[in-house]
Amino acid sequence: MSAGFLDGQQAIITGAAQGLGAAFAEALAAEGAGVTLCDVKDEVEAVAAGIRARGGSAQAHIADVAVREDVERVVAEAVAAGGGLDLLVNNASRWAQSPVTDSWEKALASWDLIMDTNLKGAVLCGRACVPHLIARGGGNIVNISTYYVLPARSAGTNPPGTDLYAASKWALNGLTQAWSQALAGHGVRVNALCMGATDTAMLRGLFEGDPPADFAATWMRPQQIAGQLLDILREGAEGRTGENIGAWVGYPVELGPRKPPHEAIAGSPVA
Amino acid sequence: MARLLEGKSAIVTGAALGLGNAFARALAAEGASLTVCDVRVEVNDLATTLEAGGARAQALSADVSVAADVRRVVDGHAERFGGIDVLVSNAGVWGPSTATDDLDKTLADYEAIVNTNLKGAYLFGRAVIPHLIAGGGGNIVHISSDHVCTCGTPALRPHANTPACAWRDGPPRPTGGGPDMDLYDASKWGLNGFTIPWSKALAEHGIRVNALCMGATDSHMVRTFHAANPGSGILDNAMRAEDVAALLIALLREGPEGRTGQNINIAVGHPIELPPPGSPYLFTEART
Repeated sequence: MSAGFLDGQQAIITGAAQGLGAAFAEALAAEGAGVTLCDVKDEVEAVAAGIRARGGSAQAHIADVAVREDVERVVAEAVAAGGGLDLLVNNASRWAQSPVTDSWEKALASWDLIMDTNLKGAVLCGRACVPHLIARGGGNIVNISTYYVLPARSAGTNPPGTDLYAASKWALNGLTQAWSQALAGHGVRVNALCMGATDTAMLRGLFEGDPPADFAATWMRPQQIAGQLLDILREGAEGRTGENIGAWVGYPVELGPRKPPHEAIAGSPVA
Repeated sequence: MARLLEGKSAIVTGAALGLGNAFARALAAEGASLTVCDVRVEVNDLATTLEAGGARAQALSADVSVAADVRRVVDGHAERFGGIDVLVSNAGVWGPSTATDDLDKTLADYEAIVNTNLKGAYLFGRAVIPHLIAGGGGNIVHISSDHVCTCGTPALRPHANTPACAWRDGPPRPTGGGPDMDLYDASKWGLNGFTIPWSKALAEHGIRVNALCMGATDSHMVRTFHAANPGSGILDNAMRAEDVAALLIALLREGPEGRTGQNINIAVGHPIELPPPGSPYLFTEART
């Protein structure tokens, strides 16, 4: 694999068995980063094998980000492989309908299913990686969120039936903002990618059978969002931090200009 | 004038002290029957006071993050009062947590902060929603923070008449409470995931869901913060809990056609009043 701008760097991508996580891992590896993938699904092994087959450096681990010991194991393996750590992509996430009319028992189970992965998992992975990012003298954390947390540009955001998924992603705002401030003195930048409809297994899973082809054709592609991730890293040590970066169907998929502090998390009002 | 909540009932969580206590008193003064709950035993004194004032009230010891406790409170309320009209999910805790904390502290903080502030609101909301639907309407009010809806975001709140606002002459106030508030802020941002989707899911049932996004109020929590951060000046201009509780009543007074799904910013240095419905400095999901 030819030299890339991430040669010598080591990244952890959680939830890398499919969709966005796999695309992130592949894009990072294509730029020369060594990548450590984890997922609860064993398809993550095949994603890593594919990267290796193209000349990249990749390892895969079956791990649940909500389980402390799993997180510690993955981070230790990444640090061992890379001699340190440069990037965490907090991507692992579960989506499920959680209508307010669900039974009490289902409501309790939904909390554990969704919040343990999407929020607690992001917290644990962040905490476990931070000492290594600091030890390296700088790095990046990128939290994977949703366009729900930015001012709406279309209908369909924050829908009625997925309260816990929405809550978990809104909660990431607290991590992105506070971590960016706590780690600025260590050269560690923290941002979030907040995308709308992207053609992933998670989105396709919302449909019974295949989604209408002409509808699916409007969705963004995971590789476009991975391009945003690379653009964050290309900004370098002086780049933006503490920002929710949006991506919407029908708009250019790009980082856009840096936002002033009061709009970095809450977003820019839609004209 | 007839009292607003005559014949109605309400649950206030975290009611032993501070804001929750003031909310309960204000609701009782409007005629509501109250269940007040808290992990603190002082909640019993509140119920005694409310009853002495002529209200029907019961105090229950409960940890809002424990599902069995939530069930006991909501079932106990419905059994005593025959339904529920208002839930004020006020129970909240604050403690410092930051990116460089170790995993032991982090797991303990997560349980204390996220499970109280966010899971507690989820559990109480989910437990009362069937009762609200059965009763033909009602209100859920989340108590959030100005960290998620400041006087500067997501659009500017006017500063023309706010001489005491610390952000009056500088750049607009950013969101967030700083580097050692990651889990607290996560818990309060997370409430948006209930306020907005629930307002949509429940509108057809006449149930409104809003959040009061509080600036510093002279409360037990803020005094705790002041004790830990004596130089912060947080108490200098703190709002009075009674004034904020009056705003809760004003929100309920709007009735079934009132606003829903909104974060209502209550900022130190600004008038303590409901903004006009649909005001551009409120966060609403439909900003298109």
